[in-house]
Amino acid sequence: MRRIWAAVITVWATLAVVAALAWSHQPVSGAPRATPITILVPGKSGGAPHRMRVLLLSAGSPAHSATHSSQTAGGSVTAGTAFVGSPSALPHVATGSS
Amino acid sequence: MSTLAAVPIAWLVARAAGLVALGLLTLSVWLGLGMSTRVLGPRRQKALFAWHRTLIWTGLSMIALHAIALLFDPTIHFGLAAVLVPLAAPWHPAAVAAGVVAAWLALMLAVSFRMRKWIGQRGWRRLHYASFVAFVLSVGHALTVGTDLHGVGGRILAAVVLGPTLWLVLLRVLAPTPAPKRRPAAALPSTPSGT
Repeated sequence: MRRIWAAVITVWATLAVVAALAWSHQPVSGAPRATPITILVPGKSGGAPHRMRVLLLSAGSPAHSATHSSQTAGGSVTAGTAFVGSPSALPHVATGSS
Repeated sequence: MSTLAAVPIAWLVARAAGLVALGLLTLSVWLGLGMSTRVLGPRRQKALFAWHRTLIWTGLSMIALHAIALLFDPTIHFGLAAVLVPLAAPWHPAAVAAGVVAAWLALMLAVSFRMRKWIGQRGWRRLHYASFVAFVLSVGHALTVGTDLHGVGGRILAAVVLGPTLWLVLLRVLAPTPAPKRRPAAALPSTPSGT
């Protein structure tokens, strides 16, 4: 009986924690939220400027950026920071990397 | 459908199981210390001892769930070796190793309850000191790689978990252990089953 009680309480406690964590989870809407912009980079010694495509990443875009702590890690490239290239270059595992 | 797919089930289960396992093992440590210090009273030792054992095994089952859920997480890429062998994890190897070693120690301690006849009371008590190592390693593991225990959450957990434990350890070390009352041999109770 003691073991049954322990198992039942443990299962319910785990389900409650899973529910709480899922509740606090902010669903990621599809692809990482990135805003592409084009900037002009002046050429060397007055040469013709280059066009460069830049992605502005918002915080919390990578996977596992569900919690406050992982958002900090995921948001290491913050809004306003120019990130050249593909967002896949970001660290995939964002949780606990701080 | 898309909302459900966006929820990392394995990751949530791994975190929840880890937190519940830490809670159960902490309760087991408190109960063990409470019995040895007689804080919980001398009468219900047999029932408390049974709960002490049950909590360890329940905590171990949650550790197993924690490890299995990590195997199914598509992001963290943990293999079987990463959750079984210390320092084999590709992510935070030292901190993960602390959890792996703590789990193996907890398993050894749980099994030792059944081996008491073979290893003897003194050997079993000496082996039981490994529970402090396992406890410290598991708390360290939770605080370093636990996603939900950074910042204020981690400090609160450390205070809640470590505070009573330190108090009970101090009580155990400083206060003399009360000697058991001597009774006639015929009146001695039989040893609790499996103890």
